[in-house]
Amino acid sequence: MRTIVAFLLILIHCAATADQVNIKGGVFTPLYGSAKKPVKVDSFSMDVAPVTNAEFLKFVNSHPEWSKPSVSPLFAEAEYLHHWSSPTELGPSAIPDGPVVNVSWFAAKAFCVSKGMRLPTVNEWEYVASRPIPGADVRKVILDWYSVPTPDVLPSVKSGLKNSSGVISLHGLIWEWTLDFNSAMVTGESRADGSLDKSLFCGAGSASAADKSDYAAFLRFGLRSSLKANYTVNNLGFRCVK
Amino acid sequence: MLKVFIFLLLQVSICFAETGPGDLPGDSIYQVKSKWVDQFGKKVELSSLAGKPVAVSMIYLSCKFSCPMTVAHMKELEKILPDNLKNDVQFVLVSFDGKNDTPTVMKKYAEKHGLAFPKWRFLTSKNEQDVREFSSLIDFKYKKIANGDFEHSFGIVALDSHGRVLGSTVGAAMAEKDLIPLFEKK
Repeated sequence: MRTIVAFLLILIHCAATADQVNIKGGVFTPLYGSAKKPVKVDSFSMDVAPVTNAEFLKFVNSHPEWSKPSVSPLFAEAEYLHHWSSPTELGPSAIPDGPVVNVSWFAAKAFCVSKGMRLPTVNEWEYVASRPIPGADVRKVILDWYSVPTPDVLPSVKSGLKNSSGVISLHGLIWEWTLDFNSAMVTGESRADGSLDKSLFCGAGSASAADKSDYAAFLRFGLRSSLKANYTVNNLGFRCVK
Repeated sequence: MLKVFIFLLLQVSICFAETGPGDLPGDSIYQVKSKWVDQFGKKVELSSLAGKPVAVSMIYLSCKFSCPMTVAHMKELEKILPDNLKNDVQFVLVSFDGKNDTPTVMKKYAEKHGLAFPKWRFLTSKNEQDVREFSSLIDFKYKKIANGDFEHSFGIVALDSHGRVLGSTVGAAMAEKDLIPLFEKK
């Protein structure tokens, strides 16, 4: 009997955390990079909001290898979760429903895997991010955000704007990790050779200069290519997809 | 009651299975638990490479240009290794095209290029997350482009016998010969 109750509890728990929306696949033209070719994105489901401090704390408690004292510098820099007041307490700088930041790609990936999910690819993320936000100008939202410094305490993940897919806070709250963030070829080492400057120049050149949302997407592209998987940044979080 | 007990036992065993990967140092890339297949279709973990130093690179086998060059550079490294390292260093090629580079394809490729096991090993995985994780650990970038090709970094990464990165020619002005002193210092 007790096992049944436990099992039911687990089921209820899983259902409650599965706060996702279905994203119907389609074709879109990424706003970043020099290849202005349409790409196909398959259907998937995406977390409505970024992962919160409270959710990540629960994960750390059940996966102690991801607690600050145990994690190897190979998988997360020293600044990992440094906005929390201790390895197992959020404290005043990290409200429970605020987005978890200062997490490395490895930690974000492990969190999603623990839920049977994964990080979105760049194309999936950009595909959803290209949807309009009813009642708001996406470009203005993004550029306004870029012009404001990151607040000391990030607000609730639900505080952001909802786009037409029902996804909240894609723009205007934090940057987000993607599965293949390291696919950007900008360090002059690949066959499609090009320095960061050249890539930026090419991308900017291929985008219409008057289109500010291209510029915004291009900043995301630039950020991604500057990251390493163990980096932790105070306004970089993530959400999972399935 | 018995069920509860079994349930608890299972939980405990899961916990044990998840605690530390043996005695690997904290900066060993072999700590990751990703699963791979080799050219014989055998399921392996990265920790199975521990015990000997490794020269590793990432490729895809249908590649026409830089991948044969990667193999050529690896062979060159093998040739110029001093005697004390010659039989020690393992050469590992990790394919990021798990979909097409099946064990059969990898085995054929190895035979064609005279890359004999166990000195030469091929690994791949269909799990994109695991391949990305590995590429992140050795600072290797790759991207799928149209018509089944990939853009990717180019170079060889030297690992010590515990899976710690010693150095790399990826994106660096280093030649194969520069890896030798790194292997010798380990």
